[in-house]
Amino acid sequence: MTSAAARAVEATKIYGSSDTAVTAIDHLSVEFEQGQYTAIMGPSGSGKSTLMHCMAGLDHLTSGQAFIGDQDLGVLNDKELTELRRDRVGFIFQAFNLIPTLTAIENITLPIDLAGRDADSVWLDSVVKNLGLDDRLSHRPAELSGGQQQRVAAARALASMPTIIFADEPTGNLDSTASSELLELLRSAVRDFGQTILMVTHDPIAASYSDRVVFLEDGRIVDEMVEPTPDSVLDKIKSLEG
Amino acid sequence: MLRLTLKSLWAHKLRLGLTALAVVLGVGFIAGTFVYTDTIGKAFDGIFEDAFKGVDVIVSADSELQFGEGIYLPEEEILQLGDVEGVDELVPFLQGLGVVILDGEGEPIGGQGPPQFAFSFMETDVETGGFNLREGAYPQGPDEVVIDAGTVADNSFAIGDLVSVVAPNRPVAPYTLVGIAGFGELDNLGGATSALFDLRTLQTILEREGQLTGASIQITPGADVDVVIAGLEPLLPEGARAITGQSAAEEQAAEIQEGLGFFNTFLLSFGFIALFVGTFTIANTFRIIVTQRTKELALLRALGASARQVNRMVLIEALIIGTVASIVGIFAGFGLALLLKIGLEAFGIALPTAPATLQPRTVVLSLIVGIGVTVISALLPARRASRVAPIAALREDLVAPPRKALTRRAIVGSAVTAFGLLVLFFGLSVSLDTGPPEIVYVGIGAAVTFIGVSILSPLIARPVARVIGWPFAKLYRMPGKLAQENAIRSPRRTSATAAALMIGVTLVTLASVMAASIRGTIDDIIGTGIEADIIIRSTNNFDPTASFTPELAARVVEDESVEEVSRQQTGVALFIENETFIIGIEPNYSEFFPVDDSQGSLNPGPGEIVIDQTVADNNELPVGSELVLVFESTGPKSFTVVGTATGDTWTDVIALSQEEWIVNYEVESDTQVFVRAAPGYTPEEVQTRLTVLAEDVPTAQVQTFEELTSDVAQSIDQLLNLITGLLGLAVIIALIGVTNTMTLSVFERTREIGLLRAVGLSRRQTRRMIRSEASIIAVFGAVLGIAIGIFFSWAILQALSDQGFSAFVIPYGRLALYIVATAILGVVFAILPARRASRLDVLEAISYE
Repeated sequence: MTSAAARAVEATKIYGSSDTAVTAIDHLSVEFEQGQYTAIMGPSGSGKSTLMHCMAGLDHLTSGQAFIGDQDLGVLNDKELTELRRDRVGFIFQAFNLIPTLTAIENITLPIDLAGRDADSVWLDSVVKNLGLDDRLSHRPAELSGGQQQRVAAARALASMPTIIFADEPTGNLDSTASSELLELLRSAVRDFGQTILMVTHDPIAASYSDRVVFLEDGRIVDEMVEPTPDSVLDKIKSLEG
Repeated sequence: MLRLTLKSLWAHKLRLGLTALAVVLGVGFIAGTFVYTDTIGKAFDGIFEDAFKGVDVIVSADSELQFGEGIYLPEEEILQLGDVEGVDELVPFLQGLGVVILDGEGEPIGGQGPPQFAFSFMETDVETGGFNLREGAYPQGPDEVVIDAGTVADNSFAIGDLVSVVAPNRPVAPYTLVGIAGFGELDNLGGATSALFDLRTLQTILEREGQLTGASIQITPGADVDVVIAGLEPLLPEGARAITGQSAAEEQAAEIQEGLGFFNTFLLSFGFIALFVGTFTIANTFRIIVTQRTKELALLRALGASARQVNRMVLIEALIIGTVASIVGIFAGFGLALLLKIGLEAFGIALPTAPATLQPRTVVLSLIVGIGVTVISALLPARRASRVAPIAALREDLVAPPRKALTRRAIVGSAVTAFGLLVLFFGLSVSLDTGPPEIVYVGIGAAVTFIGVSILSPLIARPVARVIGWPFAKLYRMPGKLAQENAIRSPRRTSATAAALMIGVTLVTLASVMAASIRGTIDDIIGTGIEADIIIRSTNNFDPTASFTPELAARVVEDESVEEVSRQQTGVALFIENETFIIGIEPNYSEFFPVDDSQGSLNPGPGEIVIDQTVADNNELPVGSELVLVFESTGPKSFTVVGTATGDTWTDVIALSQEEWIVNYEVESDTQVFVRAAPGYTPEEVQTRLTVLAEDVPTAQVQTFEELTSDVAQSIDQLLNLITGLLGLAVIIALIGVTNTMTLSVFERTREIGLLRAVGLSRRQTRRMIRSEASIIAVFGAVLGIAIGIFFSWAILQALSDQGFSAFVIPYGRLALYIVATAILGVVFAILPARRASRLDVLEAISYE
């Protein structure tokens, strides 16, 4: 029926128990279509990170369901979840994305190596070339700039051709130049390779690179926007706050 | 500040607990050793108290030799002492060694260490101390024997049984077991067998008619013991003395205590090795904790704590840990004492025991050593902590204080190593001549060398760990590769952890190479160096002077399979203040023991002696010079050196003619008979024939030289296993260090492990990664240890080369086994940190600061 790369159905996540319980996401349903670049925005505590963690198989829902493709994450054990993350999901975190002991190329192929598979060298070459990392492959993370590090993380996410890439504030630690470079690269991955990306951000400019912005507040979706621009996003945030 | 220290201790209780464990084990071993040897000492005190209970005065020979065959006194003169004023009752006694009881199958009992005693035993009206009859009757007449309760029980003898007994010069003879005796409350004398006969019978068995070893005297009531002794003295036979029973007990106890002292030192040295290893483990843990607490320490500094206060905080932590761990260690010592007893018994070292004894000295020493080691280990980390800059609290990139430059490390490390080796070689060169006290230099030199190598080892940690990690990367792919990279990333930590293991492995390697080389030397000498096909020797492998009847050799030489025999006798005499083995040889000896070179005659006559060329050189005794030997039975006697010989089989030989030897030792029995096969007979055929001939001499065994070398090899291996077992403690402490390092590394890399888990590292792969890293570190330590161990043994064997150690054998198989074993142990000791790493919550780990 669906071309959704990932979806949540009545997803609820409650932290703690009884009187101290905090509802992070609350009966939330959402779909992320294949080949779409979605940004999730919302104030601190709105549940955007929790949603992403649950969608990515890093955390369990209290109730409801999360799917990657047609796979219900709730029925998977730790081993199966790990394999799902390894084979079908890509990650870009805000910081500390890379293993310091591995070179750039080793970091990029890490999930593939963990699976014991061989990397598709043609694909790998094009990813590396696209991200402008050709001459940095044998460097260790400590020898790379912040922007380069995040691009290596992006390359890693892309290398295994995952169903979906989760990016958690990927530009949070970058200056504006490095930031726009990375965002442009993610944008082109969607455009050129049909990659699906779900990005959590609080930066309207970052959000403007996406196809669709989902606004969260108190664990629920409060609004959506397609074809966003920095200004329209900013306006929407203001109106939501107001 | 103290409250802060206590809080910080509590906060890091797990890591500190592991640190403390190293101290607990080391102190426990030391305390355990003292408890064990004190307990044995007390047990022996008890034995000697029993031995002389009720004896007022004891008359015995005054021997200069500790390992001699015993001095015999004329019976007539001793018995006359009964007439001395104040002597109420005089009980003469006789004792001898090498009187062997045979079991039901006709095989000798004992001879695996403890002696085989014979005592005279008779009913008296007075207390004579020693054995007391538990069951049955006293032995009377030439056909009766009483045996100690231990031997009776072990062999299921019963009163009325015929039990066979063999004495050195005599054939097997059956005796009726008429009674069972105990020694005070003990069933036997520390594992020895004791056959008790009436005096006349024992004199016959020992061929000591008209001779005694001494007498117990009870004085008349009211008489003064000193006065009685003064009255006895002028009448004593030559070489005899009279002392009170009490001082005899004290004297013998003191002798045992001295022996125990060596034993104690032997065991203690392993405890100190373990603690030395412990200092590495403790220092490493403290250093890692200090590094991890950099931010916290910097904050303290920023808030106004002085560098001294921070330093003191870390030292007080160490003091508290040391104290608690030492106290726990003392209690653990009781358990370890029990383990020692069980372990040593497994190696056939059985000693009498009493209730466990804890002396104040044990407590004090354990506390000093335990606390001292912990605080000293924390000195460097504490200094490092005090150097944390306050700014490090605020800046991420300043977490690690600047490291020493590599060149400086190389220079300091090389200097320390060189100094250590210098002391080691000095120690080796002096201790070989002078013996024990200078051996301390060898120990200090080795310890300093270890420190030097551990300073240097980070320099080679990267390449070596990379090579060691290679198979892991091949086997486990990515997790193995990650482990390999992790082992390399902090060479200091890897090296410091490995260094502790290095020490244990060095010593184990040293023991193994030495054992293999000694075996090699033995193969060279007795395996191939002796021109004989068969050796007949005593079944007692522990007493080189244990002998058997010469009648056997007389029969052997008549056999058609035998071409020629050469008999040898062995005894102990004082030679230039040392108790030395003196052998008696036949004129054909040098045909059986080929010489490389010789001077003078190798066939000594009366009053003449032949010695090893090296002995001659070391003591300036050229052919024609005179030397004096002091024999236990016959006293000092001067000999002319008529010949010297060089050759592998002549090392340390000091030989008299057989006739001369018999004159001085007053016995005729052989310790070895070397046999050459007649043409047409293989050694095995000769062995079969001679074994039949020797059937009625169960104390002699007929062996091929192959069997002899394998027997010797077996006892060397047994000793090697004992030493390896004792070094196991040091290895365990080092392995606890591995657990510690891995626990702290996992803690430190929480975020990284979280990331790996997020991008697809399974739990199983996580465990593999951690365990492989531990294994790489452990193997690194083993490789270093084996390299140094081989070098140390080479150095020692070089130093010993003029003492006849010709072979340098590296037991490759065994050393390879050690590497495999350490690899496995590394995995085992990383099970806990690996499990911890695999169970980290991925989300929490990623967001861990």
